[in-house]
Order: sequence, then structure tokens, then C-alpha cells
Amino acid sequence: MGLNDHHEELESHVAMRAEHDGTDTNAARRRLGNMLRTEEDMRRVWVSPIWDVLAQDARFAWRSFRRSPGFALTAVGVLAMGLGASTALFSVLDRILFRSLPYADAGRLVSVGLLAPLDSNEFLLTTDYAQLWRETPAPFESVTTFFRGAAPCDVMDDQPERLSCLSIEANFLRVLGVSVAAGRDFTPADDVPGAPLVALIRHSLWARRFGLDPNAIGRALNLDGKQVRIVGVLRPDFELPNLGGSEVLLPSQIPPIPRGAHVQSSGFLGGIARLKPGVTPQQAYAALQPLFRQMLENVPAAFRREVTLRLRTLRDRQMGDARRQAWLLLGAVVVLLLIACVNVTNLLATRLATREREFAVRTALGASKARLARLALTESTLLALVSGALGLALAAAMLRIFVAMAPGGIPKIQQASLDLRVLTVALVASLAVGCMTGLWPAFAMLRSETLHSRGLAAMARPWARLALVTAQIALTVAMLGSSSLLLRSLWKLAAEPLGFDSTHVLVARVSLNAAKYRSEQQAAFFEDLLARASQIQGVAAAALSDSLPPRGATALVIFANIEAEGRPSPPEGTGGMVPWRLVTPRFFDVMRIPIVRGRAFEEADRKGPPAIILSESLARRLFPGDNPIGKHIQPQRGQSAWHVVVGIARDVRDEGPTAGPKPTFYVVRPRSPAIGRMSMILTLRSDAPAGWLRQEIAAIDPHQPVEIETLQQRVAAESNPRRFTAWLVALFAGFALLLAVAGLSGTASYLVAQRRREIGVRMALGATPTAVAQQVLREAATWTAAGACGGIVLAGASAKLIRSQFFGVTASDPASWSAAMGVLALALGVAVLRPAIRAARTDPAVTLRTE
Amino acid sequence: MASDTPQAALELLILETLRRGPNHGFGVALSIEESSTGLLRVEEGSLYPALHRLEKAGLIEADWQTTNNGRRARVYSLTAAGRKRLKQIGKSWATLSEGVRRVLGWA
Repeated sequence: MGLNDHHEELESHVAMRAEHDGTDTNAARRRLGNMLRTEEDMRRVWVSPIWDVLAQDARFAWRSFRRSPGFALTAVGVLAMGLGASTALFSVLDRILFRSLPYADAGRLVSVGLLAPLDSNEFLLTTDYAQLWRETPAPFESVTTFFRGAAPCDVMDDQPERLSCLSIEANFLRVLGVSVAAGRDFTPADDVPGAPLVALIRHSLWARRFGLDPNAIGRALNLDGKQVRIVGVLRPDFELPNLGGSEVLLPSQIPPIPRGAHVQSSGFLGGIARLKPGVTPQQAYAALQPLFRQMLENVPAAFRREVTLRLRTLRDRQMGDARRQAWLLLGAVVVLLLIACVNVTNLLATRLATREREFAVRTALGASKARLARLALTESTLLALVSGALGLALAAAMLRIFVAMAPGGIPKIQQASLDLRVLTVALVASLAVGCMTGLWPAFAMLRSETLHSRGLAAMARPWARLALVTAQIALTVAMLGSSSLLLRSLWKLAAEPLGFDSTHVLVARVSLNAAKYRSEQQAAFFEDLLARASQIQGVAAAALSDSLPPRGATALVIFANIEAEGRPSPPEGTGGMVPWRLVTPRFFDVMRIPIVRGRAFEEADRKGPPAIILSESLARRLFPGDNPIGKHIQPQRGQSAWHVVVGIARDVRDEGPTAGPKPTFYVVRPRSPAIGRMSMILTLRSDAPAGWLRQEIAAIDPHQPVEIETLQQRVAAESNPRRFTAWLVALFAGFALLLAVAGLSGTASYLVAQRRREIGVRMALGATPTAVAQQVLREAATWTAAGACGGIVLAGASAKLIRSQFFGVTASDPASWSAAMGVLALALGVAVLRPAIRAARTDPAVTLRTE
Repeated sequence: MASDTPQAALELLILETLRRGPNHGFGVALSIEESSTGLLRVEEGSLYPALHRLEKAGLIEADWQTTNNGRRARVYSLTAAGRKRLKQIGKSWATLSEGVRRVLGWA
């Protein structure tokens, strides 16, 4: 509907009116009113509002994709891979990096306490808390605490069940700013020592044990032999600040301790405080200094120099080192997405160049440049949105893979899901990708001249496309290099000797209920268990211990407090913490920890005078240059019995392969220990199935819960976070390589097709097919080499950022880099092989005829 | 089509006029004036946008034709959809008089 039509229609009307009325045309015109305005009104009827135009563009783009499905599928596949990986990873990392914690005004919540060598987390001593923290310190609005370490607790009603109980201060929920789903919160009265026992339960327990029955509130629960009344239920989304899984919360009922009173032992609390509005953690830290000095007075003198005050946001406490890994992974996936974008821009550019004629025709038919530019953007946005939708399906699948890869790899990973927040981010990312990939084509449209679309020709020019391919290769090299460094670190870690043999060892952790088993009964239970386990067919050795390497040591002494016979004088300071383990004689056989001097424990040691075995490094520190065998040691000066050193054991990497050996000692577990242990670990060197062990335990006590795993699983869990990062980066690098292959192959094919005539002429003039193929390969090698050089520079920069994740490799590790380069060369060689062969097969006669 | 606006009334009048046969814009205007025995004078400035709206809505279609006295004119005719719409409204010319009076009141 052209504008002229409207004008002509009105003119025709004027003529007819004039004729009919018998007047002149001017009068007829006047009767029509403002002719220009009428024309404008008519035109406006036909011009659609903006959404119609967009829908029209989208329909057009859709039709054009259907005409070239190969292009559309490739582009959608590439973008879906990038967007899917980004979305899945974002959903995993969001909770670590961005999403606020599920508490009211969570930014003001901090974790506060003392930091000492015995733990990596800050803590408050109950003594300090009762004496000094009852009045809320000035920088805080409120303070609350929870007992460090959740305790196992048993429901002893008709349905016995082992639960995890955590003791919290009564104001816990109020300080966090959360409320109960049903019932009531704790009151200060509940927290008074001796008050009737009450409990808050998690929603999961309410659902599992009580079927969400509202009458469960107010009911009493027999917990470890004590009647505890349930007063409230927490919300389903409630999260403990220590991310623990405790399902029962009890008031801690910390007794008042007068100032100056001497207390034998002190409990460990986690302290959470809400900063007053406007107070920064730094200001709060400074304001707490006088209080900190008072707290130091309760710390043993030897310790004081090694104790510091720590105040950090609750998020920092929860996430610890995971944040650095999260940023590393986020960086990797953003690079992958960038590579995908570059790839698709390249594809779009190729397509535009081949559609030159179409655009020339459209321009001739009156389409403005702006309209064509808009069309290019619409096309890329449509592509990105379709890819985003497909990417969501991919993300759902990848999320499962991520979770399966390393269950403990990253905090809160189990909660990761594609919720509304993640979907919004995915949508925004898709739109951004659409704009990014379409920007260059759209810009080229704007610059193009009407018929000879030079802008488009410029896009087809080899250098522009080669620049894209080279950039892509550079990014890929950076990713490949980083991932091979990380993988090699992982392999080196796995190969690092830990000082014990983790293969063929079954580990069963058994925690007895204190209310059910009294001290002597506990000892009897474990002796029975050990005897039964040793008799299982195929068990080469069985042992009990209170803890197992790596880490896990529950008993620590201060090095300076160890009294060694003939040692001149204790060193300055504490000398650090020395972990020790209570073990039965076959422990060293089960773990295959070599005894380098003296002997291992024997059954006789369990009844005779206390025996002790030192690790090599502890022996060196306690008895430098002396033979320790037969010497006497008092593990706690003045407080414990004298032990005789019977052997020296090889050092064990107790803190995992990344740390050096830690001085340790082993004490034999007496047959009838003075104090029973509720929790012991049974280790078996055997290939016997776990089921047999379960049967033996059930034979002693059918209600006794037990956790069984292999030692290898335990050791592997140690490097879960590293494994997660390394494999994910490797996965992304693999995707990137795939995209680089696609990009290089596409560009090379395009260039070969464009230069068919030139190749034909050269072959007609006598060039051999080999020479032609070689030329294609040589050119491809040039761009690849340029990309690789850029990539190495990029990788060098990124290696600085990820160095903390390396183990046993340097950023310039030759093996890692040759592996990365080898993979790259191989993949890219395959990518250009087909175009090279096609070039070599050019038939000069055919080519020249078609021209 | 909401029938309580003058615009809608005008469009209804156009459709009713074209029901009697194809006609060009001037013919439609004339026909409306004659049918209302000169009481109704169509605002010619809004007649043509209304015709184009109906055309865009697919109720009428247009074609350039040569009239009896050799003049080129854009001739409109009712489409099947237009006929259906008229039936839906289900109002005869006589019952429309109320609407027409309303139009007069505004005109």
C-alpha cells in the first residue's frame, strides 16, 4: 500500500464530489477537510505498532533459518552448549557467591571468635562467653551462640532412630531473623540450666517422623533417655549457619560462671553476631580489642601468642576456600560462553556474506538500512533465545552431572536448582548473547551501501574472520592449558604417598548411645565387635581406633606440654598441636603404616604398663639424635601416666597430601579402659563385603546404627573440591576445543570455496594437489600458531589467579603444556583436513568452466 | 467492535452500505447521506481512515476500478468475514436508526 495510492484515492473522491455537487474542486477539497491529515490517518491505519514489527521480523528470521537448517542447528547447538553450561554452573555457584543467606538482613551477620592453631574456624569458650559476653558488646545489636560439633542423639521411643542434635542459645532464631513454621520459638526461660527440656525440630523430621501432624508439637520425645518436649517446628527452608544437618535443636543452657572462677574445661561455641546498622566488620573488629584482651586471660599462657581474634561475615565462614574456586569456575564458563559467541558471530558473518544478493534486493525494494540492521539483531536474538531454552534442558542434565562428580565438592551444591532466579539470569544471558553475536552483522548492515554491500563484503574478508578464529583459538589454548595444569595437579595429588595404604580397607564408624551403654558396657561392646570382625572370612586384620587419617584426629595435645624423659626444657611457645590416636594392636597392619624402629603394639601392651608409639617426626623433635625406644613420655605433663616408647612409626600425611607430615603419637587402647568411648572406628583389611560386617554388628545390637565406607572413599573425599574444579575446567576446555574445531573447519571450508577459482587456475598451471592441500594446511597452521601464542599469554595471566589450586606443578609445567598443545594440534589438524582434501580434489576444468 | 463509539457507528454504516453492493468511497458517503434522507452528512475526513481500518481488519476488500464515466476509483466490497460480522451484530437498517441518531447527536 503505497503513499501515492492514498493520495490518488482522495483525489478521485474530490473529482467525483465536484462533479456531483457541480462545484469546483477547491470546494470539494475543503469539504474533505485537511487532506494531508486524512492521508496521514489512512497511512497510520497500515503502520503496525512496534510489537507487530518485531513479530514480523521474528517470523521472517524464522523462515530464513528454516531455509538453511544446517546453519541454524549449528549456531543453536553452539550457543545452547555455552548457555547451558553457564546456567548450570551459575545455579551451583550462585549460593556461594551472590545469593544472600536465608536470614533477615544477612549482610549484617558475622561470625566472631578466637582463632587458634587447633582449629580452622573461630570459636568462643563457654567460660569467656558466660563471663564476658553476657552484655552484648558495643558494635553488635545482638549475639547468639551454638555448641560447636553436633552430637549424635538417639530417639528411644518405639521407633528408635539416630539423629543429630545441636545445642543453641535461646535467642538463636531471633538473632538470625527467622521464625518457626509452627509452635513457638525458645524463650529465655528455656535456656536457664535445669529448666524443663524442650526442642525445636526441623521440618524434615516433622514430615518424616510425624507426617506433619500438628499434634506432634507439645509431644514428648525420649532423647537419650530424657523426656524432651517438642515446642516448635522450623520452616522447610531453614538453614543452620554451620550448614549442618542437625534435625533437633536444644537450648544450650550455659550456666552462669562468675568472673575469676576457675573452670576445669570449657565448651566450644560458635559465635554469631548481628552488627548494628552502619557498623562495618572492620570497625567492629577494632572495637572488640579490649574484650579480646580480657578473653586472652582465660587462655593458657603458652597459647596466648598463637591466639588471634577473628570476625568475618557469616558467608565467609560458610564458604571458606570455596569462594576462590567458585570465581575460577565462573571465569572458565564465561570464557566458554565468549568462545561460543565468537563462533556464532563467525557463522552469522559467513551467512550474511552469502546473502548479499538477498539484502541488495530488499534494499532496492525499500527496506531501510536500519530495518536490515534490526533484522540482523532479531535473527541473532531469536537464535540466542531458542538456544537459551535448549540450554536450560542441557543445564538440568549438567547440573546432575556436576552433583554426581563431587558430592562434597562445593558447599550447598545439593540445593542447586534451576529456580526462578536462575531462569531470569539465563534469560538475561541469552538476550545479551543475542545482542553480542548480532552486533557486528548489524553494524555491517548499517555501513553497507545500497546495492554493492561493501560492508558485507568486508565481513567476508578473510582477515576479519581469521581474527575471530584466532581469538577463539587463543581462548581455547588458555582453557586447555589451565585445565591440564589442574588435572596434572590432581594426578600428582592422587599419586602422593600418604604414608598408609588406603586400598582394601573397610571403615565402619560406630557411635554408641551413652544412655544405653554405660562406660564398661561400651568397652565390652567394642571388644566383642573387634573379636567378631577379626573372625569374618577374608579379614586379614582388624583394629579399633578413635580416629583415622587423613585429618579426623579428635584428640590433640600441646607439643610443649609433652614431658619427655631426658628432654632438657620445653621449647618457647606451644610448639603447635600434636594429634594422637587411641588404637588396638593390629592398627598398623590394617593401615600398613610401617614401624621403622622398635615394634608395633602387642596384645600384652593392652594389659601391661601404658605403651606409646611415636611418629618419626615427633620422635625427632622429642629426642633429637637419640634412640627413643624404651624412653618414657608423659603426654600431658603432670596429668597423664608415664608411657613407654615401644616403637617409631613412619610419618603419615595427616593433613592431606598438600601438607607435610604432622607429628603424631599412638597410644594402645587398654582392654578395660577407665573411660569408655562412645564412638570408635573399626577398620578391616579385607575384601569382605560390607554386608557381612553389618550382620556382625546387628548380631550384637540390632538397633545399632553404623556408617560403612572404604578408606579409599574417605581419602578421595579429601580432594573433592579440587577434583570438582579440575574436571569442570577440563569439561569446559573440551567444549571450547570442540567449538574451536568447528570454527576453524567452517572458516577453512568457506575460504577454500571462495578461492576455488584461484585454486583451479593454479592447478591448471601445474600445481599438484599435494601442494594445494599443503597451502591450506600451512595457512591454517599460521592462524593456529598466532592463536596459540595469544593463548599462552592469556594462560600465563590466568595461571597467576589459579595458582592456589596447583599441586606439584608450576605454571610453566612442560608436561601439562605439551599435552595441551598436542591435543590442540591434533584436533585442529582434523578440523582442516577436510577442507584441505576438498581443495586438493578441485578439478581445474570444472572450476574454470563454471566461472 | 464496540458499538457505542461514533467511530464504530460509522464503520457499521459503511458495512451496511456495502452490503447492498460494491462501491467507492464517494459512493459510500453519498449512499449514507441518501439513506438518511440527507439528515446524515458523513465527515469525509474520517470516512477514508475508517474504510482502511475495515480493509485492514479484513471485513472489506478494495480494488482499483474504472467507473462508468471512465474515472479511476478504489472500489470497496464486503468480504465473507464482513458479511459474517454484520450478521453477528444482527441489526437491520431500521433498528440502527437509534445508533444513527446518536451519531447525529455527535456529528
